[in-house]
Amino acid sequence: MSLRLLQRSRRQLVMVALALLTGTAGAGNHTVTDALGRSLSVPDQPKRVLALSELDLDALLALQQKPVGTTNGRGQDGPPRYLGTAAQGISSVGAFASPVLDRVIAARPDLILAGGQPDPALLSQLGKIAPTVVSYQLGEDWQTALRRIASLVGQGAQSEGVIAHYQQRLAQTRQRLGHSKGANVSVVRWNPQGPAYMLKDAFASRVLADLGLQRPAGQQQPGIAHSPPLSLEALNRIDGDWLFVGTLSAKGQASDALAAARQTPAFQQLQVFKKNRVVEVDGSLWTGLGGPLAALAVLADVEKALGKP
Amino acid sequence: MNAPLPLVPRALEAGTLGLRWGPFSLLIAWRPLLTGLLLLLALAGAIALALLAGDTWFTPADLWAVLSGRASPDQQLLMIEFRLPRILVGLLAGAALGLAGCLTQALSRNRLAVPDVLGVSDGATLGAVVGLIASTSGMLGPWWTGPLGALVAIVLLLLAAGRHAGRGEQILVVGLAIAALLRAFVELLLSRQDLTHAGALYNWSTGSLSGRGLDAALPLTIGLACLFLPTLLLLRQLNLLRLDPDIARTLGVNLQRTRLLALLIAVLLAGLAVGLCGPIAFVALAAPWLASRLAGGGRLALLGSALTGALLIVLADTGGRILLAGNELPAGVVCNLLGGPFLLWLLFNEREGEAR
Repeated sequence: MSLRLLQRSRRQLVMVALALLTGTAGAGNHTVTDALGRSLSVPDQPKRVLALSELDLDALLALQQKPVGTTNGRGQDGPPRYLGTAAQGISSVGAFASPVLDRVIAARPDLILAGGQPDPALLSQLGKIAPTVVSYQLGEDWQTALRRIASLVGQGAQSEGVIAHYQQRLAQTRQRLGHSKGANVSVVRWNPQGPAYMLKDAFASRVLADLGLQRPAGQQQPGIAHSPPLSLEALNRIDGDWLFVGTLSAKGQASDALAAARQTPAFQQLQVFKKNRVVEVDGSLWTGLGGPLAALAVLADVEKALGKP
Repeated sequence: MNAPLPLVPRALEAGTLGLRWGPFSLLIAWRPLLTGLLLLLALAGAIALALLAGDTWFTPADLWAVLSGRASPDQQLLMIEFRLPRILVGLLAGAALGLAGCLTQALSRNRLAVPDVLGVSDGATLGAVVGLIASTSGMLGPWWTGPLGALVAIVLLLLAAGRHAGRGEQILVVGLAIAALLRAFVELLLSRQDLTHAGALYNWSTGSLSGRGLDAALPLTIGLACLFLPTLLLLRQLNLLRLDPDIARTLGVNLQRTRLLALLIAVLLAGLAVGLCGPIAFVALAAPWLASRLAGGGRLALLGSALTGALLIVLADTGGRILLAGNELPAGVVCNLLGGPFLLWLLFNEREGEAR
């Protein structure tokens, strides 16, 4: 054990020496202001970026950058499912929103992206390992986050390309909606405790709004998260012209609960069920914080379900 | 469980060391002294283990290198800046909880009367939730919200218990009721909150020491330092309190006052620990019992309880860091996992006459 550690640390030492030799030419530091308004000195061209939230990871991958590590997705055993092969091979530094400091150190990052709402105590500890930037605040849309992340990793120009691609896909999808234009779309995460619909400012809700789709009257509350779990009595609040429903993990309690609920009279009374317009989707995609790749994936799901061939 | 043993003679039996200096003399019992030393040694071992163990393991040689300042910055960072502060916080919180449990058990003459049962944890949780809701940032409020909540819980307890506050068993029942009420308030508040808030509370509510640093250690240190002396002054009365109340009274113990003081000290200690580290169950229950077992049960094992409490939390936190790779179990969860089996073991191992 100790020998391996020693070898690893020696190898790391060589790597650091190399990085110092090659890095000193041209690449320096500059000061940025992060989403919390803190001023930090970060490298101009970070080489080893650690992404500590799903949106950070999604944005980096959209910018064709592979982070040196990431935390697991919401309710996942690894990166969010929807990222698929794009996120393959990225090592995990801990569970969702709780990085293990040992692994963060071992990943040797030169920049840490800690978007969302990190614990101040954790933030100050991370800051001792590498410059740690809060890349977005909860509630900001993914475009804002993407622009900030892109400029942090020295790819400010690329973010506009990513956003333009989204706009283009958006226009395509909107055209293919046909008679579903302006339909009422219900978005639900099925938890083991029951269903919760996504509030109006959640990521998927914003993509749907971009498409010109509506939300059912009962799902218009402001907020970026989801509602408290609904009881089966209040199940009609998830009704709509279309229902996109997903669970965080593909197997387990939540998906069992959803499968069981589909058999209940309360569920089968829903108009959307009768019209066979219940679409089962990846909950980690539809009910997460999203990102540029997630937005494209949501468009693809909508297109597949609502779009005319 | 009913007939308390004559305790003082047993301590004498266990062997004592007499120290005389002029008109003063001091009797020191051998066994508690030895136990104390052993516990100190075990604690030192646990701290060393906690420094070395984790997702990245170090060798004792690495520890020596860190201590002598020859280690790599990474090792220095991980051991001294990240691991040491949380060990320190765990140690202090454990000592405070062990001490608090020892006091409440002694004053109520009931081993189940620990601060968590009396509503301290629920009060602290309520304080933390109110602090969370009042803060605009969606983060937990300042550190004192938890301890303040615990204090409020006990003021409520004393008001509700009224004249019964001094009596052992009644305070338990009133405490249970208050705890249930407070827990209901917490649930009510949380159910009406934005769910992003719940996430910030989660880390705290599982009794996680992750990220706890010197800012948590300072209030704990000050609290322990200020409250330990009054506890020692109460020690004689507390020892007598464990006898039958009538005997204690005839021996000159002001029952009401001693119990109130002990309760107040216990609540402040437990409130600080729980308020800063989250509700960590089982330690206040187990530490005094283990300590009195080790020390031979002669006297109230105040110091032993504190040391055992510290040992338990440091071990629980270390275990939580190494049990699952890449996924930390909070110390509070580890304690809960161990607490159930421990209670059962306690029940089955209870020998007649050693009930208290």
